[in-house]
Amino acid sequence: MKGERPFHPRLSADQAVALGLFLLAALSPLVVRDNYLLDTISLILLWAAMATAWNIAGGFAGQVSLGHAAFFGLGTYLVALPQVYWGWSAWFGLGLGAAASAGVGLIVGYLSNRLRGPYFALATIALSQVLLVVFSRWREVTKGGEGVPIPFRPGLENLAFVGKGPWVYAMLAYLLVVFAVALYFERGRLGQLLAAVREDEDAAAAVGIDTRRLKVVAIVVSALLTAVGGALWAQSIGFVDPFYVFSIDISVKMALIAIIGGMGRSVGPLIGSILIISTESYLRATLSGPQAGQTGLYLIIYGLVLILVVRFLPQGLAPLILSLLRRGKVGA
Amino acid sequence: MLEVRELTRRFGGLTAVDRVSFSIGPGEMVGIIGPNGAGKTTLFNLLTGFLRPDGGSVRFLGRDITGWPPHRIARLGLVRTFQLVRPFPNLTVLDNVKVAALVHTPSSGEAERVAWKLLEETGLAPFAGAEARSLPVGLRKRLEVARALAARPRLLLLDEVLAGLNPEELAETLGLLRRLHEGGLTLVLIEHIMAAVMRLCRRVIVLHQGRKIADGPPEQVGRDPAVVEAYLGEEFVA
Repeated sequence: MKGERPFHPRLSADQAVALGLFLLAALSPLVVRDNYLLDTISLILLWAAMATAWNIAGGFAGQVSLGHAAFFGLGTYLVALPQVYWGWSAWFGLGLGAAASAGVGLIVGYLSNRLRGPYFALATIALSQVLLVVFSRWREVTKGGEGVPIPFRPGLENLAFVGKGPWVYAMLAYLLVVFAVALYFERGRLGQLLAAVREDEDAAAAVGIDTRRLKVVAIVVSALLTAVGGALWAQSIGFVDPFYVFSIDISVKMALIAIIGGMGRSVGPLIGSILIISTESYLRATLSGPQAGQTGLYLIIYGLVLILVVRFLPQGLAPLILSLLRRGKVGA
Repeated sequence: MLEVRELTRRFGGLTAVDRVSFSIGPGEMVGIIGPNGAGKTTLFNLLTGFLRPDGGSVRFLGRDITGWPPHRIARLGLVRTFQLVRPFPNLTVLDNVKVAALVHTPSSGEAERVAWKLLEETGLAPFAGAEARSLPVGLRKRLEVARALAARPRLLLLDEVLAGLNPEELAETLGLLRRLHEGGLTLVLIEHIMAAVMRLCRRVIVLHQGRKIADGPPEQVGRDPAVVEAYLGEEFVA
């Protein structure tokens, strides 16, 4: 009896759903021939992973950032520039971006100890905007506002692939790593301590939990993993545009996916990403004028869904969907 | 063990704690009493790092802990409970205690063993799987004590753990405190109602308007004219 009291009793159901989704994704390149669909699956996996990384700070440590594009952008630039200048392997740049992002995450982490709630979110927006200015203006190093084309040299050793199938696996591998880290933050020792911090910071400190250090650790890990996502995205697209990679759109999308799916649980961002990215992909395919779709409709739909979710489903859609799945199973 | 010297804290024009000095020796069980607004909880907040003093110092186990952050003070063994109980509401009773034990061990299994042991000692084992917010207030107060014990206190500061309990809960908690004391734990209790403290503690410190006005055995303190005056109009049982 004593052994059967898990910290999060619902976790096993969450894990089953996640496992099912990973399997589906792994099979998809074997079954699906449509490139547009494979592209969408890659994007779903990438955004699921980045929203999961965001969730480590935003959900598990309660540090809601609206500036994660800063880490994403650093990942894209630091993977691109060493290839352009010195022809080094993309893996090197990926590591560089992750390290730089972790360093910036450390600064953001210390900010989080001074600033709470909306002030922290505003500070993170400011950070991403500062990086946008630096990278779009510092022409000698970053090539300025025109962006950076990445030389295409296919091969695993350079993290570049021909065709869509390999990218599904690359993004899936990335997602699996991020998901494993997130699980540790959800139910491992660190996760249990963070749960206490989320519940009541003062009470947590009163029993000896170093609440500041835990939050810094969560933000640093979140930043590092987000930069890896940026590097993968840049490699798959082959071009880095400062006004896109440091945009508030990117930051908001990471937060939105996690919030809509369900913050504070590992499975939330997976469900959020499937909903948001497939909707986005569908709209992009159906709407004739891509410009019109990009600028107007997405934002309106995002906004509406966000308001509805926050108002009526503050736990996100994950609990709702999981209970529907369970009911379906019982009915069958 | 604990030496408090000239400790002072002001809020605007009000001096909530005014040059308070006392020391607590190992194995003591001391009651701190005083009318509402006497500065009792502020004193606890100063001792445990939740508030910074405007003057004075706190030494614990030979170290000057004035200005330390709360978690470091707790890890050194000076642990407090909150007057308005603050269990982690959405965690189970077991996890509330386990998480405090986790601070001192990397092993989840070990933390869980410690937590179960404490739940048995405090009579909370039957509620282990319930979410903390679902407990009635009497049990939540005891959970607050169990969680504080998991933090491995050398000196435990209890902020009104007796207030608001029904007679049965009161008897159980008093028994628990006696057992802890006999087990060698040093205890400091803040109470607003004095009857229980007078019975339980061999030494009582009285605060009034931020100042320490008496410090001694309950019988002596109860006869002190300054104390009688401070409590004028309140029920007083020595």
